[in-house]
Amino acid sequence: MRQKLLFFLLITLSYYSQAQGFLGRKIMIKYNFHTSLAISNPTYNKAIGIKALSYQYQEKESDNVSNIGLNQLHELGVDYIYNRTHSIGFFLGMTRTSLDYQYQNKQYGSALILYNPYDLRIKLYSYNFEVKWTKYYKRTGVAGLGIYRVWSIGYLNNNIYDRLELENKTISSKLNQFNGMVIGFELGKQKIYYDQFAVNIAFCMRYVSGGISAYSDLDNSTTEQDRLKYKSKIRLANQQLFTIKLGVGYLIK
Amino acid sequence: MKILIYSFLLILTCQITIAQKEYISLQSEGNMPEDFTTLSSEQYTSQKEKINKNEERFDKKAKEDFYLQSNFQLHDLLYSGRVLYNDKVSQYIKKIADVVLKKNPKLKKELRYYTLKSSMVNAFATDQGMLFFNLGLIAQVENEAQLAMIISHEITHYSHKHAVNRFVEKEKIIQKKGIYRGISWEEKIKNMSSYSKENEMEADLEGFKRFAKTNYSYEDAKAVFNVLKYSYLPFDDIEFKKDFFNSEHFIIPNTYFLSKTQNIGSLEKEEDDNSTHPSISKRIDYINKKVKDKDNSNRVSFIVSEKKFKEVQRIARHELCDIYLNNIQYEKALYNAYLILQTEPNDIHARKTVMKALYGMTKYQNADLFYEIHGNYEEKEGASQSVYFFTDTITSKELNILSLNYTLRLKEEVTEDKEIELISQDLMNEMVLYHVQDLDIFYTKPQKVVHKNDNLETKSTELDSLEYAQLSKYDKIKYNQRKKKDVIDENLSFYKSAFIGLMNDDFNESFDKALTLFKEKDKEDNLTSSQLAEKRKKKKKHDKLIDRKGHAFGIDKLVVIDPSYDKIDERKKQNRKFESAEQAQLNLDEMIKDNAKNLGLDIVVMDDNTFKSNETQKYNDFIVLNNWLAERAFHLGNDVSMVNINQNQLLQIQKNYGTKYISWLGYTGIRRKKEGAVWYLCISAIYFPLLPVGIAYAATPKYDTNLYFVVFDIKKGEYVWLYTQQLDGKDSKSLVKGTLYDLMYQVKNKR
Repeated sequence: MRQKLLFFLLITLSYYSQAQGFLGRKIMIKYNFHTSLAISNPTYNKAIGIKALSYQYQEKESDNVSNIGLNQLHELGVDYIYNRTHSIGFFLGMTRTSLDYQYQNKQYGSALILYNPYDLRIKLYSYNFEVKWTKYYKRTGVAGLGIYRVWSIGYLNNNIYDRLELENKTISSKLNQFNGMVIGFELGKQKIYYDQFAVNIAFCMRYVSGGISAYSDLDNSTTEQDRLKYKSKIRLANQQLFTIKLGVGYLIK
Repeated sequence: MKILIYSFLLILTCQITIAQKEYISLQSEGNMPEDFTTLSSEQYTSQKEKINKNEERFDKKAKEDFYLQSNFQLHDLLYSGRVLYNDKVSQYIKKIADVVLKKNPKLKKELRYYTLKSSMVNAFATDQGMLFFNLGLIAQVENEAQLAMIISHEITHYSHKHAVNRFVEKEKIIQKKGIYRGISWEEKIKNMSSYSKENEMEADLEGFKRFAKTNYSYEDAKAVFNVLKYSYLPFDDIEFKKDFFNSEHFIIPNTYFLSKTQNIGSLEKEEDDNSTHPSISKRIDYINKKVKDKDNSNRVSFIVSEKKFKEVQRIARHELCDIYLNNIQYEKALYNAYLILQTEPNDIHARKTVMKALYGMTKYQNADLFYEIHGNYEEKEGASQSVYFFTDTITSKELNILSLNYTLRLKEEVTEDKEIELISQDLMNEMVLYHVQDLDIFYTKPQKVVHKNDNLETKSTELDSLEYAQLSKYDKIKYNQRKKKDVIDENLSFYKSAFIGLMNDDFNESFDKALTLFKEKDKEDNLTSSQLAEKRKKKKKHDKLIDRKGHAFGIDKLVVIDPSYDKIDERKKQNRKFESAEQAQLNLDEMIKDNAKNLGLDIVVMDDNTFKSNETQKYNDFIVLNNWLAERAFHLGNDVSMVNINQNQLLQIQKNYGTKYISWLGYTGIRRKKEGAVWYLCISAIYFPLLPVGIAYAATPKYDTNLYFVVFDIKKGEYVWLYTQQLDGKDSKSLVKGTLYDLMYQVKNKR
């Protein structure tokens, strides 16, 4: 309760106190959209899942294409400008992506059923919560405006689903999940229009912990669960390694 | 009844005496003319519309360019802090012009007359119908008729549209159009000067015709060219007396002055090939021919008023003192004031000018920067040469003591003058800081030089002829050698007598203050290594705090002078974007006001684009502050801290506006070609997905935004904050508004 009160007090004080930053405004609500080219492993935004094993085989054979897709990451966050050149903030990110996965073992779900080797179209749902520290360069303006760099650190939670779309219903089954740490860096430029609306473009790098070791872990893994986990981790790490960000924000006093 | 009359006469006499002593600076009067209150873009549009549509395309374009440039440059001139309207001088000039234009009411209505605070002997007319007369010219002309001739000349420039025609012709020559096709560079220069000379001769001829229609003397029309010929000299040539600075006990040796000054000879070159004006002798010959057979009887030198002429000329000559001081031409100011004192020996303004000139020179001598402001005496001629020789010869210590001596003597006569008080204390500080830390070196009473190391030790140095005759041959030799030495010694130590009779309680108090400052500074300069480390640590901590949170000056009210905005496109020939800069400046005004309102900062903006016709007092304040800044900028550039020459006026402004904080700020948006754009294009082409980015980078120009912001404390005469920054990026509204808010926040913020 005391922490909540303190937080409330901080927000209230910053709202009414004389401010630094762009026109004295120091709280900014932001939405960011990250994207990166997914050339080697295209992303399908719409979940496909498996329809039928026999059909899956046929589809795989006949539809052997490698489309260029776009990875997407959505973020919602808040920034607090605490002096003329710096701000701190946090954001919540969400991404979902699809992945082709070939089962090596003949096990699917909880039941032990024997299948021939087959491909799965699995869906990854990933959430990350990060805190960030932004420095604005004085040569290009005051905090909130101009070229900036960001360091961020946070927690990532990833869920691996298999979605089966049948004619009259969709069945989702969670196959696995893992947590990890992410460290991010961003270099961008922000402009402000009509004194309150911010638009930014940035180049971002984000490292998902275990993203590199996952390659060797994948080779050494003995269970389908582990293989699925490492493959997903590689997928996520690659997806977030280099991204281009487009963001919009609203400056509150 | 008699007593009453006597009392009245006494009061009147006193007032006249005071009026003679107190000179009040020339100021604009009445309502502001439209030339000042109309936006340059509006002037430009209205003049552009008047261009004949049937003219050749090149001429039309050149004229448009001329009106664009001239209107904006003229606006800059009007608000340069040097132009006065409806003042006593321009009122008088208008009256003479009315005589000249008696039979031409149309022209009479079109023309406007302004006074320019410049020491140059010059006048000029603009295509917009504004005639400017420099105070330097008014100070030098001999009578009203000469002014009438100059006015007639300038009216011709206007009526014959010389300015615009010269511009169009110049453009043709530069771009080698029409008859100038294929001409060489030398021919270009020659053609340009030749066309300009033609204009001048035409203005002389037509001007004389106009002049001849009045009843002014032809002889004066001729004589005006002599004024121009010797315009590089002061307004008079009177020997600078060697005892000018002397008082009863303080005597400057004669060796500090030239025994003979260089004769005056005209510096004008007869060769006028590349000059814009014909040579003076050519012009004199030309007018002589015109005047030769004319009857000069019944023609006069004064029609409006001789008394008024003298009054106006006195004003101009006094104004020159301030102009020279403002331009950091201290030697000129000194001699100009000296000339005034020949006719008005008790004039306070002139004496204060002498004080300020000595003060200025002292400050620059002590800072080892005298070469920045000193004129070489060998290049001077006439009586004023002696002043340059004197300032060249005197040492910084002697000059400091002389300045203090002169100031203290003036202070005794003019009491309750803040300017004199401030300057005398500063001179005392300078003396203690650079030269003298012990008052014992100064004599407190008149001295006789006594020598104790020879046979004549009991006698005074001066012997009468009988005593001298009684000396032996060898004593006579010794006596003469010693006498010669005495003279040298006296020369070397004349300054020791500077403060005899001036060392009162005030003097001692002032000296103690200066000594305390000296000791503080000495302590500051001789810190131990641990103290230095501590100081550095504190500074680092302070710098870090400033970097993070900015300054906190805690200023509640601020007067912003002349916020400026420039837009420059370096890729173009006409690189100043006048119209958009004017609009940006108007927006800047709004931003200043908005930000001030948000921050609760009380603000007064004196912007040259927003003056109203009834704001003459504000305009006069604007002039004082702008001139003050010009002077201050020079001192700042040389890192010399000085009491301002118009300190009293500044103190009045401080009182009127209720703040001692004045600021100047400006933005410049620069657009230039991006360097290395081709390389970026090539690199992006190698990795094709980046090609659109490469093309966008190469196709767009580079933008920079420069800004300056200065806050002065006019009471102390020092700047509180001097801030300049070059920002990467376009001068977008958000960038300007954001940085401006940041600056104003730091001004207002208290910590």
